[in-house]
Amino acid sequence: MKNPSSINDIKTSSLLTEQLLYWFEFSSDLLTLIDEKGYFTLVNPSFERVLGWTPEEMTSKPYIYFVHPDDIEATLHVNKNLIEGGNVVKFENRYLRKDGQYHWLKWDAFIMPDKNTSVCVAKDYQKTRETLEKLDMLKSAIESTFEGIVITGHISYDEAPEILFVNSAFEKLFGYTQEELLGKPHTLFSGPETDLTELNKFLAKNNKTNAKQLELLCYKKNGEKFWARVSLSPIFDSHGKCANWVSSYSDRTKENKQIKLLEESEQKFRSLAQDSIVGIHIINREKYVYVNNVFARNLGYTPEEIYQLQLKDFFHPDDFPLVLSKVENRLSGEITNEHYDIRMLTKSGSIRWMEIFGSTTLYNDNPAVIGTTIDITLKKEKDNQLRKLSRIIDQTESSILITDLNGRIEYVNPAFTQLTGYTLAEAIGQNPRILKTEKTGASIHQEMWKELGQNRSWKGVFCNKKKNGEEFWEQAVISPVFNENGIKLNYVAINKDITQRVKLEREKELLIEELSTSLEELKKFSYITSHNFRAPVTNLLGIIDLLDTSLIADPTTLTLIEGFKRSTLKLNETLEDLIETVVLRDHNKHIFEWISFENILEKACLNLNLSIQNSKTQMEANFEHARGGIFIGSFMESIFQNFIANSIKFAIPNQPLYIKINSKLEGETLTLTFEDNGLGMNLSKVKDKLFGLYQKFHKNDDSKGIGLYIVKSHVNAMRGVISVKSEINKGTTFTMKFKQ
Amino acid sequence: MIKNVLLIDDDDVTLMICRLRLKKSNFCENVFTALNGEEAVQFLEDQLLLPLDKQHLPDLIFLDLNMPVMDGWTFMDIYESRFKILMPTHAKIDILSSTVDPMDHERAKLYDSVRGFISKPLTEINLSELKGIETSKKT
Repeated sequence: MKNPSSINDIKTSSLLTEQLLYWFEFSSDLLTLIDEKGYFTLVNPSFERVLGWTPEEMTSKPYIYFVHPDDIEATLHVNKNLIEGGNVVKFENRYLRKDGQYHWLKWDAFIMPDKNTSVCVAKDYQKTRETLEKLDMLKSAIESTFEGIVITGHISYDEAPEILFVNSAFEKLFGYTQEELLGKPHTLFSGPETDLTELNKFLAKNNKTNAKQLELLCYKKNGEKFWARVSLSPIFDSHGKCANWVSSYSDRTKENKQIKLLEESEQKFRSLAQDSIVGIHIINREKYVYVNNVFARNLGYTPEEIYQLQLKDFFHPDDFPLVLSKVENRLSGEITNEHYDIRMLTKSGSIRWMEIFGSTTLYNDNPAVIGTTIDITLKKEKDNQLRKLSRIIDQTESSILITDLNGRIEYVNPAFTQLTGYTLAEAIGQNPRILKTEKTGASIHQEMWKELGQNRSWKGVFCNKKKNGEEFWEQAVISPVFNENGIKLNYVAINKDITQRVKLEREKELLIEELSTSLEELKKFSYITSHNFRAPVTNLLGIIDLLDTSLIADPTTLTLIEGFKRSTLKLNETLEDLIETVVLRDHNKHIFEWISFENILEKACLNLNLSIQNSKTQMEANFEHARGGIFIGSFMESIFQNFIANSIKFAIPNQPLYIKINSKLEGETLTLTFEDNGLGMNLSKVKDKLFGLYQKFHKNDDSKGIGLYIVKSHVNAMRGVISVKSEINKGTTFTMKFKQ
Repeated sequence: MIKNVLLIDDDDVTLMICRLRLKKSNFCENVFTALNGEEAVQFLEDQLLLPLDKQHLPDLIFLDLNMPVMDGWTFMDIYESRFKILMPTHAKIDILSSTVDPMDHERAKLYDSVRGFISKPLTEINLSELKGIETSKKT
């Protein structure tokens, strides 16, 4: 097909008309005619392809309806110019698409000579427009960055690449204006000391080399040198050929300084952390990611071992939830600098108390908790001890007073206040002299200060007075208190109120004095009375002994004399027993010595000789197993005598009396038994009265009820025990046991 | 046979009974009595002043302890210090007392001249024992 060369040619050819219509139908451009009323009169199919509207829809409304509201004014203005000027105008505006979006179109328009019809041709400008917008964004981004950006490229391939673009940061960095830079070779910033080898090598490759970073010594416009970090990226054209490079420059001097500072400060921190006396740690949620040596040493681990373990492995189970919540709070941004005490576990499993200070930091760009730990186990233990001690001091009944070395009161406990009436506030700063009375002799205080001066405790009794003047007695223990270096700090007095005791003791002393006086008098009295009784009784006995009744014939007189005799004997016997009881009370005067039972029995029998003969008693004594022991001789004699006499007295009348005496030694226990075949007793009736004073169990004439009392007293005095077995009309057995 | 016995006791009934008892037991030839220590001292002094063949110095003294004027203790003190060496027969003292104070027994032991401690009354047994001792002493 022959292309029309001019309008005139078209007019003359119907073939041409057909060709024009074909162009109208298939052109990729949007072709239209607009009438003087502003309506599309003809639209080609490209309108529907680009905007989505059918030709009917397009022609049914004035064209301005489809224009973006922001572009209406400009469009109308262009239209007016077109009508008035008649020239071809070019402009861009946005048209409404059927899907509701706007589409950029770039128009060429002119008006027909009749001034009624406008011929308008539009290109689809949407893509171009978007690209331009992106470019604008890139440009502003390049402008706003702090790095110096420069684009270099070859205008002609023979020459060195020249500068095509610089951003304002680049101007600032080098001190040149854009005008001074554009078109200049890229070596403008280099100087005598710049090593361009690497840069040129990179540029020479001239192919699909990837981006490269290098450092260059650069020169500013004023000659100042600086080290720049340069990032070079090739820019490829649509043919994949590298024509340009974009480079970014940043001054490394400052950066280096900062890095150096950073390194220095890190070094400082590290040495501080490692050499610190406190434990330092960084926690990254579940683990320790950094600990210093002190921290590790406190827990008996090496830092490496700690990094292997979980956070929970280091804390007492009761305390771990608290630790976890603190760590989580910090990591979630809560800013606290508080510290808390916690129980941590050492490698061996023992508990250490730690005081932890924590705060937030970054570790490898992640939030982390940094903290210090101080081992306060010893302090805790001391605190606990102190708490216990102070509780004791607060609760004890002893009044406690602490003074400084000059005797000024520093502390008193509640018991002190209760006792003396002085409160802590009243007592502090006072001298304990406020309690002093005349009743405490000066020598006591001298003695006390002497002992304390030699760093010894002193114990003694004071008579003091309360705040209300009332006197009280106290037993005091005063001790110096030293610190761990052996320096004396305080005196502590622990006092016990013994007023009541002193009073009681005084009363007791008086009572004892009184009692011993009366006892002494009583003793004297009893000796005198018994002596006074005894003298006439012995006379009566003497008279009876001398009385010769053979010369008396009167039977009544004989009976009377016989009665006198019997009464006298009985009186004497009672008197003898009473005297023995009195003497017995004074057993302090008796001494323990080894005695032989054989001898004792002999003496007892001698004393009782008459009776034994009279009653035809058969006696069987066996002392083979224990011939004697350590006893009070007179007591043992009395015991033998009493038992034998008792057996005789309470023998079954008209029946031979049999007495058996045995001794045996088992270990340290010496047993002595007296057995007879006499009247016996009903022990269930007699019970504990048996050994009582003046207890009689028989109607027997001779019974006075004192014998067994004496026996028991003697046995007890010799630290022995006595027991009895008896059956009526069968006999009685007494058993005595003594420790030897 | 024992020749002279001196009885010192403030109770004249006791003296009477003792005298009878000694006589009945045929214990000695002569019995002299004194109502207290002072009288006894006087008696001894008097006897010492007599010519030897008239002297009746006691071979044995029965002494009570509790007496008025001068008690038995004081008498023993004087006897030990003044008379003991002058007594050719080395007369011993037997305390004859109704005392019940055990301290008296202990105290009496401290005197050399005291031989025994007899609780009243003086019995046939006491006398035969004493007689035995005296006889063995002589032979």
